[in-house]
This record gives sequence, C-alpha cells and structure tokens, in this order.
Amino acid sequence: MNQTPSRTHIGLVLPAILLVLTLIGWPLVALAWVSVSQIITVNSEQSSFTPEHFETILVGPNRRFVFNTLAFGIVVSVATIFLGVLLATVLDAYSKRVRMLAIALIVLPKFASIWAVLLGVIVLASSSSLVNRVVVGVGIFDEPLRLNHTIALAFVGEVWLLIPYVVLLTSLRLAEINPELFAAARGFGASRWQRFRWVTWPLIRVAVIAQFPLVLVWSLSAYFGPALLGGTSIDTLSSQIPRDGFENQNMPRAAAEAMVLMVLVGICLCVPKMLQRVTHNREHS
Amino acid sequence: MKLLKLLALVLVLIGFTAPVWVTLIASFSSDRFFRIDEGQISLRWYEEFFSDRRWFSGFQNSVLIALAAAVGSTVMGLCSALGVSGATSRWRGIVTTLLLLPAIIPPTAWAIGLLNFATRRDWHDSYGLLVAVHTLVALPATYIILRSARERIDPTLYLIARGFGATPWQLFRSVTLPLLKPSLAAAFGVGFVFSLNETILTIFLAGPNQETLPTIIWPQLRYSATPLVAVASNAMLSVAIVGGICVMRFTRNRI
Repeated sequence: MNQTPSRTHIGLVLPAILLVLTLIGWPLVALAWVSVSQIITVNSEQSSFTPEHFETILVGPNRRFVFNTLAFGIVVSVATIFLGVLLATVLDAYSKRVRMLAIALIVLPKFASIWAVLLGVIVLASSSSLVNRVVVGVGIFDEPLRLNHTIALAFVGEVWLLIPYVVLLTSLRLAEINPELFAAARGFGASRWQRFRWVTWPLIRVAVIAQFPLVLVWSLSAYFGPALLGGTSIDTLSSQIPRDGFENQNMPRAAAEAMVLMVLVGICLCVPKMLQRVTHNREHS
Repeated sequence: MKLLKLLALVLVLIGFTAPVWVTLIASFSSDRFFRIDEGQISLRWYEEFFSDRRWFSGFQNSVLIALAAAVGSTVMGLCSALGVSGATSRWRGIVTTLLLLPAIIPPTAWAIGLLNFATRRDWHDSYGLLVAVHTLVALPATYIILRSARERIDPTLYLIARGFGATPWQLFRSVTLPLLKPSLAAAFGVGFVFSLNETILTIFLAGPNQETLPTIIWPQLRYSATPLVAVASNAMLSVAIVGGICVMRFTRNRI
C-alpha cells in the first residue's frame, strides 16, 4: 500500500532536489530575468525591462534560428527513429548472442567516447578520406566531395549520435514480444513483411511513438552536429547561444535564445502528454 | 544463406562503427594529417600525449571529476530511489520529473544559465561546482537504474525481516543494500561514463585550472585537429571500457 511521503522519504530525496533547484531552477529563473533585461555584458549591473531580444528572435531577423532549429530537429528525429527502428528490427532476426553483440557495438562507442565518434566522422568526411578516394577512384565524381562543415554532415552526425538510443529502446521492446506470435504468423503463411506489418509493428508502435518526443527534444538541443560538423552552414538556437554569450558578449540575447529553446523543448514534451490524456479521456467517456 | 546474412550484418556493423575504427587508426598516424602510409604506424602521438603536461593533467582532471561525480550521483540516486519507494505515485512523479530534468534541459541553455549565475556569485572556476554539475548530469541515469532495482525487490522480504523485529536501518543494511549491490555498481559505472563524456557544461564553467580532456579536445576539433585528439578520444574510450568491464565482473560475481 503506497503512503503519503514521510519525513524519512522527504529527507532522503531532499539533497538531490536541493541540488536540482540550486543548479538548474535558480540559474534558469535568473536567466529568464536577464533575457528581458537591457544589460549588455555579464558584468554590467544596470538593467531595465525590455522585450527587444525576444522580438529579434521571434519576429526579427534572427527568427531563422528558430526555423532552423525546428527543421533540423524534425528531420533528424524522423530519420533517427526510422533508421533506428529499421536496424533494431533487422537485428531481431539474428540469434540472441549475435544480437547482443551487435547492439553493444552500436551503443557502446557513443556512450564510451562521443569524441571518438565525432573525430571519426570528421576524418571520414575529409577530402583525403577513404570514402572520397573510393568515390573518385570508382569515377562517381571527378573530385573529392566537400563534406566537412556542411548541413548534410551535421544531419548525418547527429543521427549517428542519437541512433543508439532508438536501437536500444526498440530492441528492448522487441525482446518482450512472445516468439510464438511469429511462429503462428509463419504457420499461416505470412511473409516477412506481413509479419512485421501485422505482428511486430502493432506491438512496438506505442514504444516507437513514445520515443519520438524524447528524440525530438535531444535533436532540438543538439549542439555537436550543428556547431562542429555543420560549421557555419546551419545556425540553430543551440549553436547560437554560446556565440552570442561568448563571442558577441550579448548575454541578454543569448538568454532570450535559451528561453525560446526551453519553450520549444517544453512544448515537445507537453503536447504528446496532453494528446495522450485527451485520447484516454475520450476512450473512457 | 545464413553466411550471407551474417556477412551483411558484419558489413552494417563495420559501417556503423566506422568512426570509432577510423579514430583508432588515426591515432597511429605518423604525420599530423591522420594519414597512415605503407608501414608507417607510429606511437609518436601517444608519447606526446603522455609527456605533455596539459593533456595529461586534463586526463587526470577528467578521471578525478568523473570519479567524484559517480560517487555523488550514485549516493544521491540511491537515496532518491529509497525516498520514493512505497510513497504515493504523485510524490514519485514529482521527484522523478525533477530528477530527470538534467537529461531533458537543452545543455547550452542550462550552461549559459549556470555561467551567468556562477559568475555573479563568484562560484565560477571551482572544482566544487564542476563536480556538482557533473553529479547532476549523471543523476537521471543512476536514479533510474537504482529505482527500478529497488522496485524489483520482493516486498515479502521486508515483511519477514520486520516480523523478526528488524529496525529500518537493519532492513536497509541486511536486505536492501546486499540486493542492490550489482545495481549500485552499474549505476556507478554509468555515472562515471556520463561524467567523463560531459562537455558542454564543462566548456562553459571550467577555468584554466580545471581543464578536462573534452575542454582541450573541443577547440582543437573545431579548428585544427591533430592525431593527439584521436589519442585523447581513445584514452577516454579505454578508460570507459575498462571501467565497464570492472563493473560487469563485479556485477556478475554478486548475482
């Protein structure tokens, strides 16, 4: 029987909650204030209320940052979910041992060292890389492809970084499916595609849809893809925040960009939950 | 047909893990352009990495901060997991939402907020702040691992222990802790790796004395990467893999 939290419950949780409030809650509230202040640099003391930084981002010339962030986030998350589910489904056809090894190979490098992956992508995309040598050698192109610091590489790199999560979560869901269902479908003469369409997909659909907001949030917040692999070819809110905060020394604008990004992330998390609640209420009324 | 299927899988996996193999090979390059010409495998960059004070102290800082953050996040994750067990779902929901915030908040927004906040309070440029922030970064993962492990413990064990007159402390010491040991090891390992890879917040908050490997790698990777970056990435990868193997061995022995 679950009980209302006792003093012990609260006492145990309190250090973590205090840390979250001190290092996340308080700084973000302070940042919200900075975003509507007229101070120019971090050390400046004078401030007054102004919505000008939000106007610049939402209706002014910098609205392209919001558009780029949304476009980048949506394309990356759709591609990541599609490829991740595809890969997990393909892996599901192998024996448990092979599957575990394959999942480990996909997941571990990303978790163990993000730098090894990023540097590898940069070297692979360089003009003297093996990929380019093959492309030129086979005669597909006359000269090496310029891939570094392009939008394409930013997309590819970010998908590469996010796909392990989707493969891992989808594989866990696939492992829960009763194998007798596939045996039964095979017994009825179902093809591989029919088995996926009528058995696998209905059983993993909810898990896949549930992953989407999370992947979307991570791709909206993506920094390494746009800032490192994309260079200056794509300006998202995430890559613009350090630029305005450090290089341009415009903390209020960086703060306003951070607030807009937080709102976008909040919407991505809240809308699916609200839709779920509405559907649930409709089904039960 | 079976062999063909396996070969296809091997090809997909090689393609998928290609960046890591490329980084590994690039670290043995003899020149600074990541080239390996015939028979020119060199350990030059490894020697330079371990003899260069800046790189080596960055490596030490990374490992020390990650160890401290792993301990902090595991203890906090354990306390929080125990603090929500048996409580109402509303309480669990509130605590879980708050503790998962570090995994959801955009890191650049959080980092600029922390920088603005820490600069005004003179907290900037301190190991304490870095360890606290890294602890928070690892907390969502350690909390989830330990909460699900705590929920898997059979409640009858507690009933029996209470029947024998065990106090809450004895319950924790003799029932909860032994059963959670493998998950504690796993949480520690995950916390360590999460902290080791943390970059964005560290770039914003670390002063010249607290440089970690990612903060040294980052500008090099952006402007002029040398195989030293590959060596540093491989050092982090090796530490994480060795740590993971140790945790797996410990976990296996305890199950």
